[in-house]
Parts: sequence; C-alpha cells; structure tokens
Amino acid sequence: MAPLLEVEHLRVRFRTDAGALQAVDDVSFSLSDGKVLAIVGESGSGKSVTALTLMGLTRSANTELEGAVRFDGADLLHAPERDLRRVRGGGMAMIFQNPMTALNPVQRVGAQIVEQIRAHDRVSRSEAWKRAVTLLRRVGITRPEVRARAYPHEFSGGMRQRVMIAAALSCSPRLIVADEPTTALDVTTQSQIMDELEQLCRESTVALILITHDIGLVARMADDVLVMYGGRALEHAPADAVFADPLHPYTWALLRSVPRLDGDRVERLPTIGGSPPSLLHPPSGCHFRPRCPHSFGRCTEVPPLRASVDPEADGHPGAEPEGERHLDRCWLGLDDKRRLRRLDEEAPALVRTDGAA
Amino acid sequence: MSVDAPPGTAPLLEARNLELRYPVRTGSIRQPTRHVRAVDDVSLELGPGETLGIVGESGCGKSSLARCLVRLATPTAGTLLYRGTDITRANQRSLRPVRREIQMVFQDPEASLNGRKRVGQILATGLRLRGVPGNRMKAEIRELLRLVGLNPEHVDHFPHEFSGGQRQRIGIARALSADPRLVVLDEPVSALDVSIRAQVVNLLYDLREERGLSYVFVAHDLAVVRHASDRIAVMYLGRIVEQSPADDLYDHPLHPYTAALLAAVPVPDRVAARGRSKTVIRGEPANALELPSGCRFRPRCPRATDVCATVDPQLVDHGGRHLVACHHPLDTPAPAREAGSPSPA
Ligand SMILES: Nc1ncnc2c1ncn2[C@@H]1O[C@H](COP(=O)(O)OP(=O)(O)OP(=O)(O)O)[C@@H](O)[C@H]1O
Ligand code: SF4
Ligand SMILES: [Mg+2]
Repeated sequence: MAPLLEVEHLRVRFRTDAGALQAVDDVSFSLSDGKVLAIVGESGSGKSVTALTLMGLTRSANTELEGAVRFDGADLLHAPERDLRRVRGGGMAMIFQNPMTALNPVQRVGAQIVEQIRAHDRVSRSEAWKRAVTLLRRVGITRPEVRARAYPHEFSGGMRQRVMIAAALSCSPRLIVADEPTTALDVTTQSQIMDELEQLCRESTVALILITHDIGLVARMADDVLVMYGGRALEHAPADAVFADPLHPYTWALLRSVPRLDGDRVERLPTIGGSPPSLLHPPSGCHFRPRCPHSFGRCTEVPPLRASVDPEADGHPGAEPEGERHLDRCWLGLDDKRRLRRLDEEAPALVRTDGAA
Repeated sequence: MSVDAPPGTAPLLEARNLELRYPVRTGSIRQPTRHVRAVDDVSLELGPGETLGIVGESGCGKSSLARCLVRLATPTAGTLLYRGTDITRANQRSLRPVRREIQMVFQDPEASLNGRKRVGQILATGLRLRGVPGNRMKAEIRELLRLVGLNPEHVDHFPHEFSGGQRQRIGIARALSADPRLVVLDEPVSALDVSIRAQVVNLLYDLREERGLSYVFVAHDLAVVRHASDRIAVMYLGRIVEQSPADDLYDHPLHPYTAALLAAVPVPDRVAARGRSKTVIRGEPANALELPSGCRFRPRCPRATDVCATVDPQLVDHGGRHLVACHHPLDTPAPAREAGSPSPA
C-alpha cells in the first residue's frame, strides 16, 4: 500500500535581503494512515517551513522549492493552486501554534467552522451549523450550542486551540499537520488537548504530523521521529529506536539536556555548548560540527542520511525493513556512535546529595 | 531606612499574608469596580543562599507575586520584610538601597532590554547604581560579560545582534551589575530552546554558588524548577497551596493539584510515557473574579467532598516544612465520595 504522504528530498530556499537562506535542506519522510510522525528540533531548524510547504503555504516569488510532496499519490509541490486548495479543504488540515492568529477575531467561532465546512461540502447553513456544534462537542467544549455563538476572545487559550482542532476536523482530513499545538498552553491543558487529539486521530485513522520541541510529547505520541537541525534531518527512525538507541550525537545530547521529573535531582544539567547554526551562513559539512564534541576530519564534508543499523543483524529479524529503518546523518561508524554515546552518558551531571545548598 | 541589619538573624526576605489586588473594569460605569486578588494571603521566607521555586499555571499570580517581591508592585495588604526591614509600602526614595540588592530577570529577553542601548550602556546603569567609578567602568563591564559567558568584545553590540539565549544572559548580567543579594527570576528560560535552557540554568547555578546569591525562581516548567530550587511553592489562583523542600514535593506531593500538575508533565522516556496515567484533572482554573466557595481547586479536584465547598483550607505543616492547604491531602486515604456522605475533615 502506498503511504498517504511521501516527501522526497524536499528543499526550500528563501531569497532574503541578507542573501539566500536554505531553510529546508534535503528532507524526506513518508507517513501512512493513522500514524504519528513527530518532527523535533530547536527554534529555526526548519520545522515550520517544512509544515507550511506541505500545505503549499510557502509559495512566493522569493521561494525556491525542490523535491516532491505526494499526497495520496498526487504531486502537491508543483500542483496548481486550485488543486492545492482542494487538498487543503478536504485531505490535509493544519493547526497553528497561535490560534489567535488563525481565528478571525470579529466572527463567532461557530460561523468560522460553518464557513470551512461549506467551503468544501455543499450543505445548507443550518446543516453546517449542526455539524459545527457536533465538532465542538467532540473536542471537549461543554454547552457547544451556546459557546458556538461566542467570539474567539471570549475563550481561554486552551478553548481556542480546541476550536482550531474542531476547524481542522471539519473537513474530515486524512492528515493533520499540528505545528506546536500546545506550546503556548499550561501543562494540564496541554495534556488534555493532546489526549483528545490523539484519540480523535486514532479513532478515525487520521495521520498526524506533530511539530514540537517538547521531547516529552514526542515520547508520548510519536510512532516515528524526525530530528531536524539547521534545515536538515539528522536522524529519522521509529520512536522506540530514537529513544533507546539514538545514533546522532545531536540527538543523544538533546535527549540528555532535557530537565527531568524522574531520576536524581542534579545541580548542573547536561548541556550542548554553543548555539544552533545560522542558516544564512551555515558551517561547512555537518551542521552540528561546531557544537559536536566528536567531530573529526571528515566532518567538513556533508554526511549523507543513511542507515547504519541493519535491522536484520540488529535483532529485528523479519521486521518490515521500510518502516523499521533507522537513519542518521553522521560520519561516525555505528560502533563508535554507541561507544561515544555511552561515554557521554557517563560524563558528569553533578548529582545533588542534599536539598539545602 | 537602613538595610544593614545584622546578617544571619532574620531571613533575607519574608512575606507575611501578602495581597495584591487589581481593580477590574466591568465595562459599565454604574457597576461598582470589582477586584481580582492576583496574590491572596501569601506567606513565604527565603534564607541567604537559598532558591525558592514558584510554580503554577498561567494566570495563577506567579508574576504578580514576583513583582511584589521586588516592589515593582506595591502589595495592597500584608507585610514584606527585607532583612528584617519593612518595605511593604516604602517609597521610591527609601527603597533605593534595597533596589540595588534585589534585582529581577524577566521572561522575555527581547522586551526587557532597551533595544536602542548598547550592551555596555545597559550594564553601566547598574554599575553606577553601586558606585563604580567611571575609570573602572569598562573593566567591570567586560568582567560581567565574561561572567555570564558572553564575549567581552561584544560590549558595543545592540541586543538584537544576539541570539535569544545570549539576550537572556545580558538580562542576567544586567541584574548582576548592581551586585544584588537576591534575584527574582520570572520565567527566565521559558523563551529559550531546550539546549540553551540547560546552559542558562547552569549559569544561574554557578553564579549562585560563586556569589552566594538567593533566588526566587518563577516558572511553569516543573522539571526546570525541580533542578534549580531548594524549596518549591505551588500557586493556584493567587494562593500557595503547597510548599516543601524540592525533593519531597516531587516524591510525595500532598495537594491533589500538585499531583495533577506533575502527572501532566510528559516525561521524555518511551517506557515511562506509556506507563503513565493520562489526564488526571480536567477543565481549567476558575475565573479569578468568580472564585468558587471553599477550596478554590474544588471544581477540578478528584478528592473534593462537602467540606471542600464550605471551608477554605489553610496551609498546615505536615512535618519537615512540608505545608499543604487541603482537606484531603494525599497522605490521607481518599475520601468516600457518595453524595451526602460525611466528609472526613
Ligand atoms: N518567509 C520566509 N522568508 C525568509 N526566511 C524565512 C521565512 N520563513 C522562515 N524563514 C527562516 O527559515 C528558517 C527556519 O524557520 P522555521 O520557522 O521553519 O523554524 P522552526 O524550526 O519552525 O523554528 P521554531 O521552533 O522557532 O518555530 C529560519 O531561519 C527562519 O528565519
Ligand atoms: S558528522 Fe562529525 S560533526 Fe557531525 S555529528 Fe557526526 S561526528 Fe559530529
Ligand atoms: Mg516553528
């Protein structure tokens, strides 16, 4: 069965006043119905540009797009705007980080969902209103008949994000692209909304691309993980493999630098020195090189994204090779990666012995 | 007013029943002005060299409390003591010596730095405040930049020429420029990326060790606060509902709200993430204008009984400086919840 979404060697380059900026540099992935792909990375790593490009929202005179984006077999990257609009209305929906910018402040939320429904479905206004109310109830809004008549500013941040999810669901999409859907929200609200989103997706086998920098959310939700850095994919594998056996030095450093609620309380957190690369003036070769403690001569050349684990040899005999592939973009050999990772993990993070300092 | 109380006797900072009320416009001029208590009957203490973490959801009053503690806001009731001296309503003039000793670092490094000033100028203000002579100024500025891990060569750069993490370092350097004893940090790392966040948390830790600083560390990220703090206070709708040594709070939360907050944090671990129970509490905090009767967490609380609707629980010490304001804390068996059943108060 062909995957629902296939992205191949996607490149996005912006022409800016300061020069050309390669925001996305050779990113490939595929996604099947009902699966969750998490795209993680730091600010400016190209996550949002990737998402927006899937939706056809980065097109402009100053943008160069290369590669392929196939949705349900049809090319989207170079499709005419009319076809794109149809896909956006029916097949793919996006949830943005800041719901306030995506909602119209002077229109009742119910009316906004009605408009979306009627944009791709020829139903009467009252029928669409009924559907909008049902959708709002589905995403956990109490008394939806009443709340549908409210304006966005009358909702809390969490409620607004629920409205966005309802709007996204209104076109019965097969794929939802959620760009930091809960970053602006409190943990308790985030937890409720992610529960709901996950349940909605699993229930109706909607595929989800979850863009986030929250490693905890990734651990909880993802089937597959794509780690982005400086516009490139540095590691791409099933989530279990990424957490159990991270193969890129950036990935394992990132996983380690997350402050945790479990385990020992430490005085100093493990960190990654330096800061992410500028996309206007990226370092030559491996983008992580200036911050990588393990770089060597070869790292001034761009490493390819490739599998260094053979799933057969690595104790997954008979596993589906396509889905089980563990790719990373680093020149180190597999044994070196695992050895260096172990050394890094043993390196000091001062453990507190006593609460009062 | 003197701030030279003998050290070691009094806590560095002490708040007693602090309250900050804001008037809220209701839209209609005929209606009386209503008030929302952003900080409501908060008491806390901070010793020299100690870090107190304050956590809670957005709108719970964390930042308002922080602003009271540095006297950017004047409490509407209660008492605020700095080294034994009452500064609750002290005016600007008498506050001046205190201002230097209590500094604040803000959440948004972008907004809190004057974009038209060069880094050197930003840092010079605090240095002048503490009387550094003009001929020492340049050297002191370079030293400050080095201290927070910035390149001293960049003294003439503007804030926008730095990354977010570097700008937060400038904010920290600015706070340190006055040579404070106490720094109140309001969400100092929330705007930063994970890898940069850890760098700044470590910097704060090192500075505290080197200079014997005390911190009040306000944040909504429980994992960050856990590592940075000695003691932690959990706020809910203006109140502190639990306060305890850091390890104890995370290992044995007593307030149902604290337990729910901790359970809601996604852990960066596959096995643990799957094993965790999901949403524990539902809904969102009540509107601060329409507080529920009794315990303000009641509408969301899985343990609430009749008594919770009538009696506002007070903070009680459960041993080892672990305070909790709850009728049914987690060190007691879960109450029976049939309607009309006697509530085990
Ligand atoms: N329309 C545009 N024109 C020029 N540059 C752009 C444009 N949109 C994004 N960029 C640049 O592309 C790079 C990648 O940005 P992107 O928004 O994808 O990052 P991100 O990974 O989503 O980061 P964040 O975590 O901060 O949301 C950044 O350097 C950004 O400044
Ligand atoms: S390619 Fe080199 S610099 Fe890049 S991550 Fe691997 S070892 Fe480090
Ligand atoms: Mg983004």
